[in-house]
Amino acid sequence: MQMLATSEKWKREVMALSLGFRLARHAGVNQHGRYYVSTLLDLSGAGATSYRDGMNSGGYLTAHNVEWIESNFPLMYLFRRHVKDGGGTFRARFGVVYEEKQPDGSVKNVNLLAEGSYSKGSELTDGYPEFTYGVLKKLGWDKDLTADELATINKIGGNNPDGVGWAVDLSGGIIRVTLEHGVMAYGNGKARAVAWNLPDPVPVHREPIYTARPDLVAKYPTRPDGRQFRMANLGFSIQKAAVEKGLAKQFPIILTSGRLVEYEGGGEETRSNRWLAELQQDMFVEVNTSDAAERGIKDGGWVWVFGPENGSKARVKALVTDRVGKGVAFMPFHFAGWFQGVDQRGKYPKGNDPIVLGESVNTLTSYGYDPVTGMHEGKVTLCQIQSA
Amino acid sequence: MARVKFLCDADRCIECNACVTACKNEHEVPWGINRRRVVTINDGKPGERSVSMACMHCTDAPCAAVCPVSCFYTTADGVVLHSKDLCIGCGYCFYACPFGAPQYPKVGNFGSRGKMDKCTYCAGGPEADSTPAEYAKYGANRLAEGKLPICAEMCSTKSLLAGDGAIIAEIYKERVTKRGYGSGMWGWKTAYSDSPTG
Amino acid sequence: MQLSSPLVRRRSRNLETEGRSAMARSHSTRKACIPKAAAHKASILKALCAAFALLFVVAHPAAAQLSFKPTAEAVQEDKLLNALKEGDKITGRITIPDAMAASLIQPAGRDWRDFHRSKLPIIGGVAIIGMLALLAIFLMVRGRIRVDHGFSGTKILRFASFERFTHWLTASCFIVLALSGLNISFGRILILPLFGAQAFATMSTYAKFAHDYLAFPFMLGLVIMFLIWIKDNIPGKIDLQWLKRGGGILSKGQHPPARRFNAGQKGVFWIVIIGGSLMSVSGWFLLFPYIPANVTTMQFWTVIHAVIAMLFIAAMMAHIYIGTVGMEGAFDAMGTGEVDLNWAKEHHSLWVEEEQAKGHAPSGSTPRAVPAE
Repeated sequence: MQMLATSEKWKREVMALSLGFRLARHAGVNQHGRYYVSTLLDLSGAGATSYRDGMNSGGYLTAHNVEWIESNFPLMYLFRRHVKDGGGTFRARFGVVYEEKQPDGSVKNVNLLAEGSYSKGSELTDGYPEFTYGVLKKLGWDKDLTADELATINKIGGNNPDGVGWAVDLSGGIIRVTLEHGVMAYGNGKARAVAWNLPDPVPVHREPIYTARPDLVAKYPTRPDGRQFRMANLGFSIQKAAVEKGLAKQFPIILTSGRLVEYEGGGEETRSNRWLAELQQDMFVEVNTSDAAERGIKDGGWVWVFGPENGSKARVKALVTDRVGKGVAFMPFHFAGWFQGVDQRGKYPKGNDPIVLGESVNTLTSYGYDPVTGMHEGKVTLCQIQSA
Repeated sequence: MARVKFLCDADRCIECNACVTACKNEHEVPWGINRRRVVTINDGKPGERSVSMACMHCTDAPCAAVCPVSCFYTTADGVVLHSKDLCIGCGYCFYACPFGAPQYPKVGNFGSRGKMDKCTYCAGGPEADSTPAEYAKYGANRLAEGKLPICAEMCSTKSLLAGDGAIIAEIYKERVTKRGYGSGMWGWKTAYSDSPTG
Repeated sequence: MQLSSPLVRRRSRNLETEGRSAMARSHSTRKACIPKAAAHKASILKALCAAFALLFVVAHPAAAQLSFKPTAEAVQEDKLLNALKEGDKITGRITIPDAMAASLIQPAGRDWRDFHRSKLPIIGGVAIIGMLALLAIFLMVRGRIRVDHGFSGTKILRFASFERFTHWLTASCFIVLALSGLNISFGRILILPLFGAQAFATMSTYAKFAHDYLAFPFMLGLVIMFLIWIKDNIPGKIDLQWLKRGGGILSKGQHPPARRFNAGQKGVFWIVIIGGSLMSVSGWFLLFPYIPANVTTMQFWTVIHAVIAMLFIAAMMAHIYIGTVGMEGAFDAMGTGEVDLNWAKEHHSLWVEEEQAKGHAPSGSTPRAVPAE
């Protein structure tokens, strides 16, 4: 990128060059006589640095603030800015009408375009579909196209120039005209969540496999047992068994795991960083104040947390707080190096043990796998907590 | 000359500890010395707020007043610094400081206190500016390079402000006006009794 | 706008089928390097739809029916400060293990600073300079207390060598402790201007080392003193009589009876034991500040240490005076251990009788031996 910028020839050739976020745009006609636009991205970001006052000194993913990002990148669904200023609408890429099946078997047409909501300065104050040349003509905006742009559209469209959409218009004229009129060429639709390819196209409630409300399982069971690639996913059976065994009585507290700002991922790297490790030196479980009072647990005291499977247990410090509600506990998932109360530091290769070790929360988390990705259930299980 | 101050906007602080980490890294602060720290008030309750606290570089610095060997001095910018060569590690500055800024390594006789260390507003110490000798004792001297303290520069939400006291007070007031609330300029009345609002 | 462009419809359907077939492709051929841009786009799109739907749901007004107002209920610094009681701190939660870091603001530091810079110098000045003045006046007015009958030349053992060793161990430590301690309180005002910052700081560093290390032999001396002398220092009726007569200190010729230690000395003993114990306890925390690890506790102990020190030093100045300049014949007690019999009879008559009865002392006041001619 730097070389490009220092080359007199290429510096003039490129249409846009930004050393700030390491991007160069070049457009023209290639050896096949076809138009092209190429974007050279130097994604090698340096991240926030101590020199240059913490600003990212390179790469595409610069650590700028919200205002800079909004001004420089077009953002979908940002109504408070004009489309020329980074604002945008929600893409209407899935048609304008949805045929919703009714219980009685009939079909109702639901409008997928936005109703009464639009971006700042938009000349169309309602939803609109993706733009084609035909749509421009309907609005009378085709007059705004230049002769060159029109020629390109006709060339691409051939017999059906009306059908040339914004995405295939190589002249960029449809996009230019729509921007001038304050609208997005990709349409203004309602934000929807129908993920056709997912097992639940519309999110439905399903009780976790280990749930504190076994009474709800009958009505909101998890997905039926099935096979994912080569693996069996027996969530339904396990959920049923948990209900039958009455595990919710033995393990009455919902356990969730999550992030700490100081650490990342499994923690082996960040817990080896002396600045970060000093900030979180102990694995802990956040226990609600009333749950702690019931169990005689003091803030900062050691506790055993028991998981619902295989007699799993972990010895961690208690953080008694109202951050978690009654009946809920939180543990960070960045710690490792202890197993069921035993420090495993000696088992690390010499010099590789992180500064801070602690129990791994996944010693306690239980069966459950995402039906699409196979990701383990780390966010909801049951536990019991006892003062150690 | 600008009179520099710190201001932590508690309504923006997200307790990310970026300021702490930046300070630690910039000055290679040893384990156990907390030049800057984030304290969360009313943790878990409604109205919980976090405040990033370090030396406030007070106008009438109590640390300087009580030091038995008078090792403190205030620069023209209002930065309160001290000399580790003169410091005897008695701990008086810590008892007097309302903000708990002075820190001591556990290396003195009886493993109690070594030489005092604290936030320098990234302005080093009495040694010559930006020399290895200064870095070894006090850390980086950013002010000599015309920069502001690294903690405020790294703040992810721009809650920690550093710079000319009048300007940052103005920024904070604008914020309070615009959003309609503010939990206070934490520590200003205690530290800058001469101009507690700007 | 209810426009249904055939192109729009077609594209959405294409994406659907493309998306599904892309999924199928990825299931069967893991190593497929087929550009999946379109399918990728479709799944991103679908994911984005899901994300936006979620945003939409969460942002729904019904979800925002909060029972508290986080901004209105935010902790306010001035309210917290006003609500603080004397000596309290504004504290919060921290993630680091240093408990002292949890204190956000401790206003008591200001009061402590005032005490150490304003009140303590007055206490110290009044106590020490006042005592000096008192002693000077006493010396001028009363003069040196003499042995009325003159020295007899006969000695009686008053303090064994172990007792003297203990006394001097404690006393010499006390001198260094007192001077190094006074250096902390007043050195900056009195000495620094004379020697400059570097020299003063170096001297103060060594003074602090001396103070820290000599504290231990001092404490040892205190314990031994207590053990060996407690039995002779229990207050009794005789002490009351002695005190009523002012110990005979104010007028010549007055010698109220006393046992081994008179009321004045018992006073000194208890001042040393109690004062010394307070100094030791408070000093212990100053030596090991990480034991309480609490700034308020440390402030308390420094105040005790400083105030008791001033009073202790003043008291010891009186003790040193009377044992040296103030009374002839007194120093021998701790110097050689043997005191003149006449001196003993005048100041500790009952003790002399007890010693004579035990056979530890020569009986009667023998006149000076006349050298044989």
